[in-house]
Amino acid sequence: MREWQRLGVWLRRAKPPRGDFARAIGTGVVANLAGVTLLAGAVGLLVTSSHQPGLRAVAGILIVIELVAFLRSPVRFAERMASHQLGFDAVRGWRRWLTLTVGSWPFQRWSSYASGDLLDRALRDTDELQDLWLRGVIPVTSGLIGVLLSFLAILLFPGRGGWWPVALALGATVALAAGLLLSQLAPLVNIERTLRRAQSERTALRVSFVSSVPEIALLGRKSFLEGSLESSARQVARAEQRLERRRTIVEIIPWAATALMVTLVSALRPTSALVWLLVVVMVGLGAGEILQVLRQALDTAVRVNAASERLDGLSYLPPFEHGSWPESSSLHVENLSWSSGNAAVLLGVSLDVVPRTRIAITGASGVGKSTLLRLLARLEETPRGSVKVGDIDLDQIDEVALRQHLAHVGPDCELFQGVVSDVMLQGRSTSHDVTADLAHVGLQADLKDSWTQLSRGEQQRASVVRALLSDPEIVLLDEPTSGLGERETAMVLSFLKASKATILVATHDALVMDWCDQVYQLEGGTLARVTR
Amino acid sequence: MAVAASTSSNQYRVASRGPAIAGISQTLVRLACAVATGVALGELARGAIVSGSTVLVLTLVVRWMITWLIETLNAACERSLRVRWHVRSLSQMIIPPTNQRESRHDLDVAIEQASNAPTMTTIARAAQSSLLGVVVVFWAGGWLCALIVVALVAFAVPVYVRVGTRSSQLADNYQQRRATLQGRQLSLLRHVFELRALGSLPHGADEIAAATGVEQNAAMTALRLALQSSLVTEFLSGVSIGLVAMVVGFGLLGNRISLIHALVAVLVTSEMFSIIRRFGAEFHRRDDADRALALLASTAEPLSGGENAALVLTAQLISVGLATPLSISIAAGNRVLITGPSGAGKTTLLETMIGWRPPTFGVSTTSGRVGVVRPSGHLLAGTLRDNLCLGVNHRDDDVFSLLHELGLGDGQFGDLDLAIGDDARTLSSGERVKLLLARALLASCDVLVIDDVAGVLDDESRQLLRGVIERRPQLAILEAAIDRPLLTTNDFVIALELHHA
Repeated sequence: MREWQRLGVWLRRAKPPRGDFARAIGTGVVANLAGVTLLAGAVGLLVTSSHQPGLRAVAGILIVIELVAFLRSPVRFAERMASHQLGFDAVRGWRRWLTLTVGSWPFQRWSSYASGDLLDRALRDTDELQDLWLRGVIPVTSGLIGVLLSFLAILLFPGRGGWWPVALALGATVALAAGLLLSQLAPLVNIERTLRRAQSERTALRVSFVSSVPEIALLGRKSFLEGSLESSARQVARAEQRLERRRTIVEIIPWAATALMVTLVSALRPTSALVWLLVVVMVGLGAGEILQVLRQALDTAVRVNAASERLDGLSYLPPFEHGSWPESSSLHVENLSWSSGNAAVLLGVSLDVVPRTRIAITGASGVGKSTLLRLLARLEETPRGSVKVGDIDLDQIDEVALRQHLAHVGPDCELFQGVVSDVMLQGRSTSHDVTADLAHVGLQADLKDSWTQLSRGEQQRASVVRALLSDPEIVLLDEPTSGLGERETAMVLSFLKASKATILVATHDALVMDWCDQVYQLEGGTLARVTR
Repeated sequence: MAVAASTSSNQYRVASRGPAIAGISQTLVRLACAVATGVALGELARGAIVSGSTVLVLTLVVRWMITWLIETLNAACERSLRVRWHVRSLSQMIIPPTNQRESRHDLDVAIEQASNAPTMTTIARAAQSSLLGVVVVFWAGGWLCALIVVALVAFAVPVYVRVGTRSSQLADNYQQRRATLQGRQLSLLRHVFELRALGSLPHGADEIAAATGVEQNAAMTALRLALQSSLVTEFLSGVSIGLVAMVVGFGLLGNRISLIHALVAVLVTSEMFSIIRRFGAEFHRRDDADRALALLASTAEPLSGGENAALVLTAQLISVGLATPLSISIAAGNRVLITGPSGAGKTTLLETMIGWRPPTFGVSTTSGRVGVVRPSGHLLAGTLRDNLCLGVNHRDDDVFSLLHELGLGDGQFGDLDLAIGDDARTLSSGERVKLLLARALLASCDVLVIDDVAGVLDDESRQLLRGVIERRPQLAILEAAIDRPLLTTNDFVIALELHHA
């Protein structure tokens, strides 16, 4: 049950537009019915001809068959295209979720993952998930509707009401078989997990051996490596075999159900020959077909389960509340402590910042200035101690409100490719004159220009301007002038002064420290005021 | 360095007999089931309900069973193939490749494709034997039916094959394009943290969705083309069945054939086309499987010198840094020193002599066991015992006495079950070199190849190691050193010079 719930959550995370869904299902139903009608029609034609009702009837049925044969392919085509469109819509939704989720991680987690293959893998996993729609929801839904329609059609056959027990019995069998199939998801997923584990062990072993094999082969002991690898590979083969066996049991269900249905129809039939034949054909095809589709959906669910588990592992719930930004923007840090793994970085930092003051934080390289600023900007996981803005806890403030009133400029700024207005605004709106602000820090650019290759100094200056576009009340800057000369530094400082915001800047630059009202030194995990 | 072609292609042929038989029997059973279904439906039409439905159910059961049997057999075959290929992949890397990561990936792909071979054989043989269906159609529906079916099959097969190949080409092209298209999304994801600081995370999510849209438009184009091609195949089979039904219908009308014959003709035609269509769709995978098998079957090994050859024998060997071609024969007990400044080509020469590099000119063969000791040598992730004994049952005492000789007698090396982590990152280079030497000696190597270990050994360790090799005069040693070699005496010195291009 839990497995289905998880997959259900993923389906709901990317609900497609109703129109696309209806189109995919509709074309699917028509395609299915066309296929069934084709074969039933061919058989019907033969039976009719054998009773020789006359050339006109035969010709009529023949024309219908050929028409359906012609139409089936384009309908199938439309159905496949509509399904893929739906799948793509879903992938876009999942990638949105991925962006928002990864973006809300604490900095430490993000920095360890962003460099590896994990993000690449996550993108591919969102692609794999679309099979949930393509080979899961869409075929099952259109198949069920098709089967329902064909069961209803049975009721229209002559025999006057005598077909009710048959339709009911068929419906019950399909429901039973479907339930049995769905219950198999959890056991299959468990076995598949074991298989995945065995596979990754085998891969790790192989990677380790492959680098040693030239030397060990020269020593004549290659067989040792081969033996170890073989036993690991055999474990994988055993897990694969278990999965095969379980799937065989699952495969029996549709076939057994179809056989049962055919038997039921023969046992319960109310009337005779020709129509009778058609019923058997349609029953066999329709119901057997839907159960096969269900089985394939089950296979799909097992297959994409790995992707869904990996993506689930990325999810993160930020522990923030939805309070609004306080009236007063004074900053109160009390006894802030934070450690990375086993190493303590901050040990009881305390600071009180009056609005509109400018504070420099200095200290040796790697001592924790960046970490402190990130903690104050709520970009790192909640520490011990408290950070308050006004009289409200930092954790209580709504994310959107926080970002509007508090800006953080990191030491690496990279999003600077594209049209100037897009790059600077990043989807926000501002009352500032962006061009004038950029000119203030010495950058000449028009809103419609396209930036391709800015120098590091230009990027640094532009990111300060960008951060201040929302008129924040508190600005946290991490080494904003590290790559700038004297003149440029002066321009940035005058720009910051004009903003009238509270400023905390981590820096080594003497010019910046002189410009600030107070200077603090971070050493041994604590902050101490430097008197000059 | 010659490439020794192996006889595994022979193994492949043996393996394909089973799947071939499976394919043929599957077709025969399916055709028989089609006939039986026709009979059953005919019985039902006549009103013989019980016999009709019994035969129908039996047919379904038999059909399912044969499919299950074939799939199980093929899966077992593929599993054992995969085990064999994974083990074999080690042999592919005996000569260290230039780009290890890429070679590993290529091998992974090749193993997956090669293990498809049994299924491909089954499908191919099934398609070939489905032509027997024409005989059945002739018996059931007469010569006109049989003619139509033959004509349609002859027309359909190349179309199906072409469609299948084209779809797979389109898929490959799309995959290549997709890697570039996804680059933009990946870089967005990597910088998503900066967006958060600006409060523009939703904007970033929109950007990624837009970039995905661009990627997907490219995909839709490829898909549309692929689907249009497969439209043709569906159309063909639909029309064929319709045509046969028409002919047979007229025959029924004219009382020339019975209902059962008519049904059999239609059902057998349908079955034939479905088998052939599968063949067409999977045809391209057969090429991939064959190519992958060729890759896995070829192994490259350093040239071996044979029974009576010297331990290391070179003839007219040319390598970087050598002033003249080198012809040397190293036998038991010989000590050869290669000297020269950094960058002169000592490591290159060593690797060429032991067969890890192709020589620019000339030949080098080795025979017997060669132990390579260098600071960058690789250790296995496993226990100390695994690393030193490599599966041979040495007595613990022998191992400890050797470790003691090398100066690793105490501390963590007192426990042979000590776990050495991923490529032994916790060990110092000096300890690593000593362990590699211990490993080589325990394996009773005939030749010891030492590459520039002076830099990682302190004086005391150097003395210990010198003692160890002096106590083993039967060992042939080939050492490359800038200065402070382990060899105190030598029979031959190869002096390399720096060549400026």
